[in-house]
Amino acid sequence: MNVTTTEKAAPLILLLFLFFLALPAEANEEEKNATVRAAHEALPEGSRVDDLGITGPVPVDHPGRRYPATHDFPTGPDIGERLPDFTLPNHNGEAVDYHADRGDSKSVVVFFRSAVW
Amino acid sequence: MIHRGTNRGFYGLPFPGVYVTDAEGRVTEKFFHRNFATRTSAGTIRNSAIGRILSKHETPMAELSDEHVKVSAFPADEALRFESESTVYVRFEVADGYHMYGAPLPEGFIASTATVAQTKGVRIGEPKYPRTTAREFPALGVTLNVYEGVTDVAIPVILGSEILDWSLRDKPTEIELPIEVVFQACSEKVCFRPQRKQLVLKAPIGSHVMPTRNRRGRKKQAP
Repeated sequence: MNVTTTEKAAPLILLLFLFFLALPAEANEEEKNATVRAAHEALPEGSRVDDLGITGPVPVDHPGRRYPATHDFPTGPDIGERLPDFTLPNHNGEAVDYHADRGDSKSVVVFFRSAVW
Repeated sequence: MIHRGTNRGFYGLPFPGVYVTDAEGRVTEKFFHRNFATRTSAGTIRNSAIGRILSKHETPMAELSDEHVKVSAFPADEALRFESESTVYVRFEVADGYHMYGAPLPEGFIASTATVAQTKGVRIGEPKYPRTTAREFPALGVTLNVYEGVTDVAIPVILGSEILDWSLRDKPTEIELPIEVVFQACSEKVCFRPQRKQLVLKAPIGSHVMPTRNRRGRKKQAP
């Protein structure tokens, strides 16, 4: 019995169909935007306390604090802007106030990893 | 970033990066990349922090000289490293009493440029030119943008993952970066012929992990 090319390819075609069927469906752009909102949107303007109860040194809508639910590329304070006040423990557990400790010195502030909370 | 369980956004800086500040804590420059695996080199950040470009005697250089302009090229770091954005500086040193032009210019004038040619294994960014000085030329009745003295053009370069495709036998220890410069030296009274010249910077490559061979002697890909 002769087997045609189509009959030979049928199992492969079926496998491919099942493969693509099993792939997770990606939401289109509208669906993505519809289900995801920036966390600060419902908060009072100028609030420094977010919806999780976390208090930050700048308001919740400051670019250095929020991550918008988009493909933006937020990188915090802009050139010309003063870095916010912050106090963090050093490797000895001692509290270090950035601006007070820096005095009149220039500085290089490195976020080796991201700083997200 | 979005927390999958709550669909809420995260706060803070979702990308690693560096701020350089002045004495009052104001940001003077920032270095951020979308890809967390790409970082800015120490030499580039150092030069930004101290406000001038250091050119160590042991840093590799390429040079050429015109009668009125000397051109040299050197990297910000002693070696290029994988996925580390370094800077290639192209320095023009114009003799006293002469100048060369910088963009933007009226038609007919030659702006000074420096470019690194496309090179396998290297991602090249847009050159950054310093500010020009506006000079009046009464004889011509125009005001033109000029460079005088020392001018440094900064070109970002990143050694990319293509170098991992090179075999162990050809493990690279340096990479050649072809650089093309265009300039025209002028005095108060005369302009000399525009120059288009090439120089090659041989930049060392820092240590990195290369594809190895497994116990059976077969080459395996680096992760």
